[in-house]
Amino acid sequence: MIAPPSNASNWGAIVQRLRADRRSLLAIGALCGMIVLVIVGPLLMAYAPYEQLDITRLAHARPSAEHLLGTDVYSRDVLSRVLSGGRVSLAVAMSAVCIETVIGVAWGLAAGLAGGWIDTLMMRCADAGLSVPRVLLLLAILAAVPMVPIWMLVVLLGLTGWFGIARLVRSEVRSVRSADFVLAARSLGASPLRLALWHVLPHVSGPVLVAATLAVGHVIVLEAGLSFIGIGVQPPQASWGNIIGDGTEFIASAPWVSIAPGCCLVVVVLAVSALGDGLRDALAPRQLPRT
Amino acid sequence: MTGFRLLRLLPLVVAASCASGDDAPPSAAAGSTGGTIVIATPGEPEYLMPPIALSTTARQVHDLVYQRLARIGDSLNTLGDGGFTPDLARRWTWADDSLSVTFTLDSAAHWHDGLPVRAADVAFSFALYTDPRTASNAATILANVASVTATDSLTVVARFRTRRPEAFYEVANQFFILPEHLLKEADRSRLAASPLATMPVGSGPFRVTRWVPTQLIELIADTTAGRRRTPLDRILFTIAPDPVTAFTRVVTGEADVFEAVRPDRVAEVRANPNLRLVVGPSLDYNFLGFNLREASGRAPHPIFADRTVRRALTMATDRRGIVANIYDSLAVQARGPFTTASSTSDPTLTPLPYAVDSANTLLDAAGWLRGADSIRRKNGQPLTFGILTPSSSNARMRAAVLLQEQFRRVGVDARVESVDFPSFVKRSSNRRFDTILSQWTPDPGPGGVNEQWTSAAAAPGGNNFGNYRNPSFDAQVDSALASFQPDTLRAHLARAWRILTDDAAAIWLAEPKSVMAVHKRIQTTGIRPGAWWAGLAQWRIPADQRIARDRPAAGAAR
Amino acid sequence: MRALIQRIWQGFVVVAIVATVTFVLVRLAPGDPFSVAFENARLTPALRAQWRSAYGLDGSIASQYGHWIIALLRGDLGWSVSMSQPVSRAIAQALPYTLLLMGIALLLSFTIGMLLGALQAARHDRATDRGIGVLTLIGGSMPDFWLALVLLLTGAYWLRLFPVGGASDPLLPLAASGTTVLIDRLRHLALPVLTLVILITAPVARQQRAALLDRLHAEWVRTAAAKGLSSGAVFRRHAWRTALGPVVTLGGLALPALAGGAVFVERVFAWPGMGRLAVGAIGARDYHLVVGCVITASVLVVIGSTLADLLVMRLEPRTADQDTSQRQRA
Repeated sequence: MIAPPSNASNWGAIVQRLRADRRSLLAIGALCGMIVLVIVGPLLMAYAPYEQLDITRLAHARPSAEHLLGTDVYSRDVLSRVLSGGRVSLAVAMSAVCIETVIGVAWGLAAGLAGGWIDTLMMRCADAGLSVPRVLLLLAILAAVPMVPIWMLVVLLGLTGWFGIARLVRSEVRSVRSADFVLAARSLGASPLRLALWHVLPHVSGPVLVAATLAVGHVIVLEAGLSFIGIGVQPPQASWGNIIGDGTEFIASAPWVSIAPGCCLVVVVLAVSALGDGLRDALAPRQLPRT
Repeated sequence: MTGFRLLRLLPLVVAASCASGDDAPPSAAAGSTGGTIVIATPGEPEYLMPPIALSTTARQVHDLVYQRLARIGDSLNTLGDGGFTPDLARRWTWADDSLSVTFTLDSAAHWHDGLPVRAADVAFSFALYTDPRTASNAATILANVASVTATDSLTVVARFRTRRPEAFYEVANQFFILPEHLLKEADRSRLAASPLATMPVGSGPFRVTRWVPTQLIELIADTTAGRRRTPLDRILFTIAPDPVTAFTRVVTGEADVFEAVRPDRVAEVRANPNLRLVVGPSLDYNFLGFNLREASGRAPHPIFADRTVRRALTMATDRRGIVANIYDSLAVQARGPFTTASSTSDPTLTPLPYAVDSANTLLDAAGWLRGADSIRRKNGQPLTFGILTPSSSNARMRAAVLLQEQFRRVGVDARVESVDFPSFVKRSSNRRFDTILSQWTPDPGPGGVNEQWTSAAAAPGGNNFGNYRNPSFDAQVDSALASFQPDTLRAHLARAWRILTDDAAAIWLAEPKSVMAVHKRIQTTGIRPGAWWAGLAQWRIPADQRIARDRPAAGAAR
Repeated sequence: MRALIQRIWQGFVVVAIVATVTFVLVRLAPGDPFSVAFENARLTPALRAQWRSAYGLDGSIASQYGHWIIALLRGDLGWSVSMSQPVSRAIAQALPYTLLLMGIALLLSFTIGMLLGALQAARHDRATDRGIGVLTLIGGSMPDFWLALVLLLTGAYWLRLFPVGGASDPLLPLAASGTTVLIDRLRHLALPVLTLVILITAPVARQQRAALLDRLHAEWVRTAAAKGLSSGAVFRRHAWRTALGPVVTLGGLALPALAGGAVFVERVFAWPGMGRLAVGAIGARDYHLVVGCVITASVLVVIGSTLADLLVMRLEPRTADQDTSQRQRA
């Protein structure tokens, strides 16, 4: 049986190249550090993230030894909130990206392998999704179903984000459809499903991985934006976006509330885009990538 | 734009004293008049059509552009005609049986297009307001007025169905006089689509010259046909998308007036050499209302039907702390469905105390016992409920988060349900909520009470969204509303407030003060509670302090 | 030519799908266009029904959709309840602002981005390349609302160099000369444009650098170099031109983010563009206006990506038969 010219053997080389890339290592380090911080950090905090310590005297306390990042308008400890908000933000972004990747890959594979009018119709749907600003789409949906619980928010973010990946996968599939190893597999009588999962999927996994990595950056900012305007993660649960939102009105008098979560967001997005770039270079070292 | 405006919103609270024209200094030397006031407003009016427009900005423009028969005085008295000042009507006489009033109109009054204002316009306007097709929410306020008829071109007779203390207030103050010649052809079920809704033609001291959506509304002092002009040349409403932007325009000098400075920005205004702070009482109050019935309306609410639970939850909340956290010193703790400035207030009423221990004891006694997760349960059901709040209101979002935490401390799991304004309105009028954070701006007179807390208002379609019902409360309100004597009226209301407090129909939170930032060069008149703009037509800018925009180029003021 | 007709047909299908989905979606939200302004407890159900029918909002969704389609075919987008004017007029007021902001931002960021990318490619793996790389990476990683907020604070609030929001000084038009108006416009544009430029320049520079390096490695460029052309000439004549393709594609793809108006940027800077119009329309449940805004955004996007594809075909005829549009959100 003819094996696809992939990938199992290549992964080793890819990891090797990633390890040689300082930028990628730094990015991975930053991401892992952040993840460890938000998982372990909240356990070490003296205050619960929702605890209002003294609403008349401790609101907007400046950063001090007692409250390293100060307190917010409700006299809650900002550090505790940033750490526990990080859990929410990162978890939401990563789960949403998983959902959008799965849908996008399935959609793209199906369309690419089906071909013909099914392919056309499926791609027009993806185009339609791409042609509406995602924020507007989410605003409209969240107006229809207000106050969604977090799992629902994740699902909605996932459902509005798969169009790009579907297109990417589909065009990869089209380009390998006539490749020798696929033709060979097909002539050996492989079922479409087997063909998709066993022969085509490994081939597209590289670009998808890159796209998914970058998507984490988009989604975490998107969730932050929605929470920033108060329709994402609901109180008293913290997320980086709603902490920034809580602080926005007081940015002149108490800038510490919004600055810390903002910096965390920048670090994560930065790390994710650097990692995405690194991955892309590692996957295709010679001919530099197109998108 | 964020206020809760379902009640008898203020066509009620009135504006200004064109009437003060009678004793105002005549416009003296050249240069005593002039200047432009720029008002930064956070909300665009939906349209400028008095019977159906509800936004604050629309009300402000209407009060400058249109006239009423007479306007309520600064004392905010609504009983009889005491304190009322003439507007379109120069004088009025009562019939002997007090069932009708004859108004004599100002013969010099004219529309901004030059035609004279006639009695037929008044009769037409009344008919327009009360036509069901118009669907004006002032229609029910005018329900006691049987007819408004023109007996000659300058005389109007209003007849009442019953003798009521507020009969005069209702007919004189509650509707604007609109031009019949421009509206008689209009489709009354689509008044918003009439050209007049975007470019009003009134008979008031200012006329609208421009409305650029999302940008500005320009009003110019009307000087046609020999009208005595106002001290100002021009009033501009610049429309900002949100209150923060509007406020910042005032701070940076792009605008002169901002009507609702937030507590955390007060220091900034004080420090600004060009601005001064104008603080006064308002007519707003906010509260957390309990729903005494289930969302379906068919059964009593499993938690809040129990008076003990409502009292316990009230005692569990540090209302003073909440008010201080949100408003600093710019609000006082509310004690009932009234504000200190209104004639219905009872200064001796004491609210339920803040006592967490008693709250815990009461909840235990009511059968809600703490479980292992420290959430209370009764018959296996956890003590959990939603706090419905509009996401557009910062103050109420703050209150919701503060209350949520204070409830948590006595073993209650409260959810903040922040929804956008249309959803909020929908759910409150459908009564689909457990508790609701409402802010109301009631009528300055006692009439509004009837529509918010009585059993009658708890019927479908009423404004008593929480379904509070108590016959002894109703009885006190009825007696109050039948009183022609202010003292008896207040005594009955005081008893009604006591009952409401003991029943803990709601957790009364704050009476926010009105806090404005105004440019120092502007001389304001007294600020009326609930309608700071009431005296706007008489504000002035001394000639020696005028700045560039006070001297508009030729063509601005004609 | 056939390709063009096919693209237009595809675009039409895309817009039709978008319009239909939005049409249904907005009607699922609680409330209706009358919630904010009209709803009050005294409005009886009969009256509400009358309002709804007066505005063509009675009947089932299907019948409303039918009426709406018929009106649309006559070029009528419907009546905006919240703005008291036809939807088309409301959009005609907001769209120029978005196009202005977008146009300037795209022009600037593509110019700057392509220059930076070219510089990086020419100085491949040297300090300049790395430095610009880090800067663009950071610029592109900022959350848009956060960056806008920071710029607003520093530029308008602390330094007082720029106005806090809006598109023009409302007091100006009465007396101002042309130059004054122009300066005023530019001052209002400065901060939102800066925000968008920082955000968009990053991917453009990265794209340009990658594409140029790709081409410089390509066989036929090497051949040209072997034929004795100087490296500068190779760069200018061959690599630069062919590397335009991906960047142009990216330009077409940057549109979705901007065509609806950059929602958060418009919000922070109070820019009266499409994003603000659409968000307000959703909040007011102004059905026809929401659908109108979404259709407009989607038409712009389709036009943008079609133009980009056509341009790419001209630039590199070789790829005309391939699917050049690998899409990602800018």
